[in-house]
Amino acid sequence: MSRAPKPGVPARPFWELEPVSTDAIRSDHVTLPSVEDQLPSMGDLLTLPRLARVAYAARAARRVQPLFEKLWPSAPPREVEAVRTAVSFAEQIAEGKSVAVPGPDRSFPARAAGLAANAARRSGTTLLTLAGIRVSAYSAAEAAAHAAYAGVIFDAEFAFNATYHAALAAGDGATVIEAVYHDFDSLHQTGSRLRWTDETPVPVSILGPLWPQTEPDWWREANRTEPNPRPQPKPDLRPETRPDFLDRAKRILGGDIRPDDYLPVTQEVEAHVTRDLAFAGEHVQKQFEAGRIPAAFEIDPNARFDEFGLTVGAKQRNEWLLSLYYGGQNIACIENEHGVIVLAVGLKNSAKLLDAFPYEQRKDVQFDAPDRPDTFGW
Amino acid sequence: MPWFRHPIHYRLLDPANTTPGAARPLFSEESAVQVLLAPTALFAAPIRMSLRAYVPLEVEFAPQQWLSSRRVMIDSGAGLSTFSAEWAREFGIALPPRSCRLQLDTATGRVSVTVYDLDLNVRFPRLRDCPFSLAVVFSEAHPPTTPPLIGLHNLLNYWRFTFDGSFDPAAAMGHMRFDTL
Repeated sequence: MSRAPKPGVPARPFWELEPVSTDAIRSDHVTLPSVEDQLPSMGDLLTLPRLARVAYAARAARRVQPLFEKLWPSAPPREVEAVRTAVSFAEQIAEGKSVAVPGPDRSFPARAAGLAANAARRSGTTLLTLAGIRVSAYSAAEAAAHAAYAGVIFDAEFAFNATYHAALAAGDGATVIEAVYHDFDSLHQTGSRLRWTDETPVPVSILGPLWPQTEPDWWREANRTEPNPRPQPKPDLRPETRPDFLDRAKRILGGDIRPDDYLPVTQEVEAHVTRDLAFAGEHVQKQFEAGRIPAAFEIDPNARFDEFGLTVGAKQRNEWLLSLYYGGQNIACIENEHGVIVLAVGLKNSAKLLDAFPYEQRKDVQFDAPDRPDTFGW
Repeated sequence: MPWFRHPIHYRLLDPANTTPGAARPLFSEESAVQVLLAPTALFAAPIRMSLRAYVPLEVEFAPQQWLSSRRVMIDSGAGLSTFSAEWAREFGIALPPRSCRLQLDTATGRVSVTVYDLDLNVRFPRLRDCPFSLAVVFSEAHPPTTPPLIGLHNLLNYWRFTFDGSFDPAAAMGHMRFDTL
């Protein structure tokens, strides 16, 4: 495929087209339309067999994956692992391997990498300069997420998105785009020659070195072994995650509960609750207007379903608290009208807590693995 | 006969829009709070409401030792009650030494899983005086972070359960009712 710039596309590298705001990563993405024009289009990608498209996407994500860890050295291990897993997942799918994922949802690796992208973005440290090039950990994770999705849904759009985000991740878009074209041409030519079908496994190794020309400086920098040890992730300061969590649980279960034992209610939690209740109110109003209920009523956050349960507002708040703080993790907790106190985090620590206290002392303790914030359901 | 009710939990989510022609699905939030507080017009399709038929359940993991599971999922579309084998081991539930393989047809295709059968004493916290023996399949394929799933098998020996969409100011999406038989 011709690598000549398309009409109307400036020859300047895209990062020089618009000023880049370092405090609004998203704005970078919406102001850089030329990246899309410089990549093989979705129509081009539809000429590749299905697994070749996955290999193509995986390869793009693999190139920028080191940026995630390099730019966000304090990233929680879960997020780092999610991005690694998503890229590896796409590579294995391209090879025609059967890849086990946790749970029935095949998109789990993609969604996990998507959450890692969110977390990277929230960290505020993901758009940096490396070897003189503006690079983004957030976009690296996005590339991984889209590559993994390409291995689940096999839609050309996801393969395209993987390359798009890879180009954004490496502000040196030129080298990424060059490499992407190399992949596309190789896959296209080899596929035609060998008469690949959609089912033909395509190991990414057939594409040769990761960088067909020279490795870009930012990539070498991202993979450089630090002369000093890599900064260790900041210890999680939540008290329930500390090694002395059982001592804390003993105090709390003994009745000495302090205000800061509760999970902090953030603005995001409050916003979720507000929206949930507004939705319920609208739902009721619609039912009334449709004549399905005799009278409309307000959703009262202080309403109780019965004398045993929490109020509506507390219930929604507690669910979101757990979901946003500990979604996808096993925990032991106490919840009440004031909020949620998490006593142990992780399956093993939850089991230690179960062993450490007799039932009478811990009968208010509940064991759970809250839904992740974006889990829709089964 | 003893009974209790439990509200059906709901919450709003933001599924990525992958409709052809729609904006490229970005997984990132806009500004989380701004989006969350946007006008209610945002409640339009695609489906954003996640309903969860969860109830709390206590499990006798050792004689006279109870563990309170905050949420088990009531699934009237499931034949079996399924718990995670890893979860069970970690919490000291003695699984039988003998396992077997089950072929399960799932939403994502057919899978073969290693399972253990066990009758487990359980009770709903709201009716602690009504424990019952639940036939549970402990599956090696069920991650420990997936809530226990309560299917039809032998639950109906003890309970009549009803999903009720009646409106209530504290249960806008309805509730479940459990009646002892």
